[in-house]
Amino acid sequence: MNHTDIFEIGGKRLGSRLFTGTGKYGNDALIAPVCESSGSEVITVALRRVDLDGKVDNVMRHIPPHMTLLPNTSGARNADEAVRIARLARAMGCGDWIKIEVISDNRYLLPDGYETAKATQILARDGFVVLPYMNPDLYVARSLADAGAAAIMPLGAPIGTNRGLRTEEMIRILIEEMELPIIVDAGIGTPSQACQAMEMGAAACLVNTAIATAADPVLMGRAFGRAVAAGREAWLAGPGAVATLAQASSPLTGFLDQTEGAS
Amino acid sequence: MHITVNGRTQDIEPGRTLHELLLSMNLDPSVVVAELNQDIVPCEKFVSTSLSAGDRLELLSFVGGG
Repeated sequence: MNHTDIFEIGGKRLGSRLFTGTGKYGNDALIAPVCESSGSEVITVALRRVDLDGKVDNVMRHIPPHMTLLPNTSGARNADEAVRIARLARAMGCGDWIKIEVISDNRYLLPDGYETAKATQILARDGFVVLPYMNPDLYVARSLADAGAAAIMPLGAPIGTNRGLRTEEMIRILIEEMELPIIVDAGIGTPSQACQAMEMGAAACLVNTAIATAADPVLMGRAFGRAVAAGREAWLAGPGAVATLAQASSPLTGFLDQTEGAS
Repeated sequence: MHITVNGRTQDIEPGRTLHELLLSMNLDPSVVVAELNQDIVPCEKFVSTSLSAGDRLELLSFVGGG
């Protein structure tokens, strides 16, 4: 990884621009090796009722201690529920980062921008580092920025679909118009899509399903880590112009057997 | 006396503390957050928080999520 490119956010200096998740693993024991192979330094978790029948393992056992925890407010259908979950998550004592996820659409799991903005305002004022998940809408993004979000997290495609950057044009607009870091979250299905997001100027990518449900999550995690770093370097390197007509790469003179003009 | 834990009615001894309840349920207090009658109980107060009849307790922990 290129460690001279540091992502400063929420009081942290991150050496990786790939955020990962802990959901959907067939085997939670893969979470730690994926953290290592991917180089990710930020990882999401959810908050749920303890399984009183004792069957559910505690995911924290599998998260390396150096990771920054990003609990989400999944389950919240409005701002009040998101705030309640965020405060409970903070009470665990693992930091004050929170991913606001307010969803009442069960088919596409699309986030509710209005409720997300309300929750962002309350929680940012309460000292949280707020990373809100949103549908890429410029007005919602501005509300989130005004409300004190630390970054904006627009979806590329609905959660878990692996459909890539379906919202590419809207994400591009957010990157251009917003000062806050744009972290593409949801829908990224392949390393090349994550690379593309970074080449567009995204500050980071959050990838869960594409890694956790790969046949080899550790290897896929490594691929994503490299792809995000490559895309970031491409962005920093300043890509060349795009043209319609060919522009020769080799000189157009001095060819072998070229007929010189008569004197 | 009866209290509700995660929506389930449970019969416990009067005066039991939250810490004692967690241990009796084979739960590790350090990975659990508690909300008692809609107020968060800070973890350092588990040992000093006694439960009363009719209390509604929510016990949560981190699980896998995206």
